[in-house]
Amino acid sequence: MAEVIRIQGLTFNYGNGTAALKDLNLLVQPGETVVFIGPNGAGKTTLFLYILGLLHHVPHEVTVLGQPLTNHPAVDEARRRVGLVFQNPDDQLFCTTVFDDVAFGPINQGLTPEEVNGRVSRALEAVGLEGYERRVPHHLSGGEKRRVGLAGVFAMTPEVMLLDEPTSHLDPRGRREVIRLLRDFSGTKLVATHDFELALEVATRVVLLHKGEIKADGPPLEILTNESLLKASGLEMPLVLRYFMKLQETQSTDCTD
Amino acid sequence: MHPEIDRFAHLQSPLHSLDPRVKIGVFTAFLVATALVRGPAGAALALAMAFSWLLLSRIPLGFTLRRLKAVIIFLAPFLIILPLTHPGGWRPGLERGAIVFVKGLAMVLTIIPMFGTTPFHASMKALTRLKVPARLVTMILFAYRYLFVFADENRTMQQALKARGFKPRSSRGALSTLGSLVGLLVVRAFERTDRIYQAMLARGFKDRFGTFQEFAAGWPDALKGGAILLAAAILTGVDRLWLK
Repeated sequence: MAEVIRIQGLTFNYGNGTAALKDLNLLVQPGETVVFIGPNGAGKTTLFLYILGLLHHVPHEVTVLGQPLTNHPAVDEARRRVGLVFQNPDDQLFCTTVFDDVAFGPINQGLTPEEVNGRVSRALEAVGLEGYERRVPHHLSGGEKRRVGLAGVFAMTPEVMLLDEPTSHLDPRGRREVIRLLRDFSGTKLVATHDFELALEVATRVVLLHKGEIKADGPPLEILTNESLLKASGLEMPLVLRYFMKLQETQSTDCTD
Repeated sequence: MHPEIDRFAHLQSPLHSLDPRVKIGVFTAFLVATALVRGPAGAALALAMAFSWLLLSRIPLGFTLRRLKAVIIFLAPFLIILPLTHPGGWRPGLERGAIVFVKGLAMVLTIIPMFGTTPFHASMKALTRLKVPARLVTMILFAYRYLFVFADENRTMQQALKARGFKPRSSRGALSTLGSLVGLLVVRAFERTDRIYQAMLARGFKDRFGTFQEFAAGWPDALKGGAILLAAAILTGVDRLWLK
């Protein structure tokens, strides 16, 4: 099966001259969960916005689900099939009720009222928020807002999901809930995160971004146990792996004694 | 605490059950009739009628009175300025000022049950059905939705200032700090608009806000709406009679 996302030679600078992405090349296969790690300003969010043509440009370097995004109709089609969950739920929940917000995407997809109602019900059920239809977004907790944001994207039945810091500002229970939802979604996922434990739990592949370039791309353990690589990018090995490696060191020392 | 206009939209009353489209239409007619009142009898009658809408709505008086504070502060200057500037002298000026004051109160007392007895999103959908331009309604919706985010950010920044020992004073430094606070809130709001627009585009937005809302008006709505229109007509008639 052809790759889900292909990016070739992507270079992007912001209007003020800031180089955000530099000669980026990436292939994402169907069913992968690719986790992007990197320090603040590495280009993770910019990459996701660029893929969906949200930075006032046409993303010529990007092919999504076999369709090169060389014109606006192709970008519109990509937005129908690829869902983006924003880092801050308040940026994404712009309607005055949960129902209206979750229905926003399906309505834009041209579905009938019955189909929209069905999509909204199923999406809210999937995120465990049945009965929240009439609730007002600014009354919700952070975790609930995050789940409504996910529901709003699920309701569009995307084939690919892009998630920007999905566990940020969540308590352990909310975080666990989001991880469960990520695992339940069977499509291709691209996740940008500082949460390395999340990467260990869900990633099939980790990509390290630094200053707009891909510094490493491989299996999660290979990247996340490479202390020198992480340090060079201003990152640290996850605590659990540090303990694990310390334990291994101690055990091998014991054996040689 | 968020000051939602529709906090009591869940109550039961003759106004709560009135179809939102009918409600907005007939109360708008009443507001126009109130605005056109010129005499003291008409002003007093408008205030009495507006108060009766409020009582019918069962919205707590305390909630309403708290919201009237700002309105009274806004209208009170007319009671001072007009007596001092009216060409006919202070007595006609005071009368004119009192009419403006009472009419203003009557209009606000009408708007509170007009929008306070229906969930806000339903009121906005009713406006769309009444052919108010969709873009204007969308702007109002967004302004309302993000008013609370703005209030939360303002509260957080005020707390951050207090935590570092800031005390509001009329000194140059304090005013400069408050000015920076306001400026920063505006800049953050502006940056947020960009992100919100990206979120809308990402979910297929194409310059039209589609919406579903089931409205069903029947005979009870026609009767109630007719009664409010009759009240508006009586108000206009009484005002004309007085002026003769």
